Amino acid sequence: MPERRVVITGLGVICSLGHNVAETWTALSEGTSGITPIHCLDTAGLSFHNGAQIRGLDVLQHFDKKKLHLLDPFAQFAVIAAREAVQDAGIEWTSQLKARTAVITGSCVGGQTSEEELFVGFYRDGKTRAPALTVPRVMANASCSAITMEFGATGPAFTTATACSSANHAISQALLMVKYGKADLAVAGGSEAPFVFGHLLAWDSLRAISPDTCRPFSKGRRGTILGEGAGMLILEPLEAALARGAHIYAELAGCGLSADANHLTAPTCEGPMKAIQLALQDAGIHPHQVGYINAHGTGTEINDCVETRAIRAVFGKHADNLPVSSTKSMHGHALGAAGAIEAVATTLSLAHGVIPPTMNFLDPDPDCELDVVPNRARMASIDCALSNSFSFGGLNAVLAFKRCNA
Amino acid sequence: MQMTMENMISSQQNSEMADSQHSQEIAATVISVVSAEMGLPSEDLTLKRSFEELGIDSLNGLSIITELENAFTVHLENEAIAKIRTLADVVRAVENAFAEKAGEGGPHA
Repeated sequence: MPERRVVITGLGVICSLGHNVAETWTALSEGTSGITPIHCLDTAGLSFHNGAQIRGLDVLQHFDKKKLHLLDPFAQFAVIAAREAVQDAGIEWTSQLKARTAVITGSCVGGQTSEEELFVGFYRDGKTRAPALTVPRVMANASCSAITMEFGATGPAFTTATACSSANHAISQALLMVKYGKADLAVAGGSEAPFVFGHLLAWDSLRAISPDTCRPFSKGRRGTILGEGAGMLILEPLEAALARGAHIYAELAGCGLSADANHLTAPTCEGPMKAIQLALQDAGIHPHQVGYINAHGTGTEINDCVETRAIRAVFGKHADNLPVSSTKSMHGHALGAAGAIEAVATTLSLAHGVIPPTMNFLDPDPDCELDVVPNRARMASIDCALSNSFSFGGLNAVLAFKRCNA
Repeated sequence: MQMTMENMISSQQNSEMADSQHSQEIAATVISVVSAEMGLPSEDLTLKRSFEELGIDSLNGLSIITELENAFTVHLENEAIAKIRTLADVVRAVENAFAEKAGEGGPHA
């Protein structure tokens, strides 16, 4: 089968900025931060107290009790975002389409809430039996499985686990499936629910979490801030989208994947560089055509320096005039959902001609010399954009988007 | 003999002696934790030796610090950890963390 152009026709998101795309985009384009004191648990004993948590979610509005019992929060978020994306795309399910629909989701840490429930019950409360559904709630593919069941999608379906790049790897895989005819529709993205005490304690020991807020690329940055939620995209061939008169947000034009093969937590410059170059090549985009990069931009000392060097190395002089922002400054670092939430942000940025800012920015850091769109969104007509994800373990995935004039 | 000496010295000296005993205890724990983490015989480890020459990278370093935090129930700030180059620096950082912890409960807290 010849290569097919792949377009994005549906979006879904839930994160600290909102329960849907409209709320989230309003916050992103107005520079509203979702970072607040962590409210779902007592943070005494941790050296950080802030997070980007979903607020005011009544899950019973989304699931009946019987169904809820089956789903860890990370799977709930995935289904909520997938439902929005499918509805947004106006998918009319036929048995043929269901058979040809791929579902590929990313998750870094799986069902932490359910896992901790087991440990607290056993070690602290002296229970002798674990909750019966611990295993199927904890498994990292629980989100993917729940989405397939929600829509009766029986095509290729699996979960990618590449830490902070999980969602970008999932979306890349879905792109390849649709591009090469292994599926005619894909629901792709990622979800995460990391606000669980034991898990936060583990992050604390890594010394990567900021005691105040997330200030990517800024002087005075002190680390990242964890976030939670999900993002989902509907991908389909351009021709199919045109034929059914679907609204097309943007073309998902390519992906670039690479490994650092170096260190568990310290990134190299070469790995990210290679992923960016491969994404440009795959999409047939010349570096000077890129008008926006949604950065990995975690707000840690080392990531932001290395990412700056990688961008400068690929784009050369064009980097002087290339807006690069980290929306993690608003929705936090949602780990396996990060790339998906950022893919939604990047898609809407192209569609609306608005670049979301890097919030909480204080002063320029000479080691991060980029136009990071500090503290205020910017109008800009963008033809091509990239979204970077680099992970612990050195696994990099970059997505390339094109504005669709079709 | 030791008891009589201790009775004779001033309370300030007394606390200095306690400090030095405490330092030795911290140093011994640092050496045993580093030895276990890196698989190096403890007799090869002196306080003068640096992380670099012992092959202690950032992740080994984090593991060592976390073990020590657990052993002494103290918290080391990132800024303090960033300054560590030698095992003696580790001992000093743990001592400082003790001092800060004591300070928190004190009149100037």
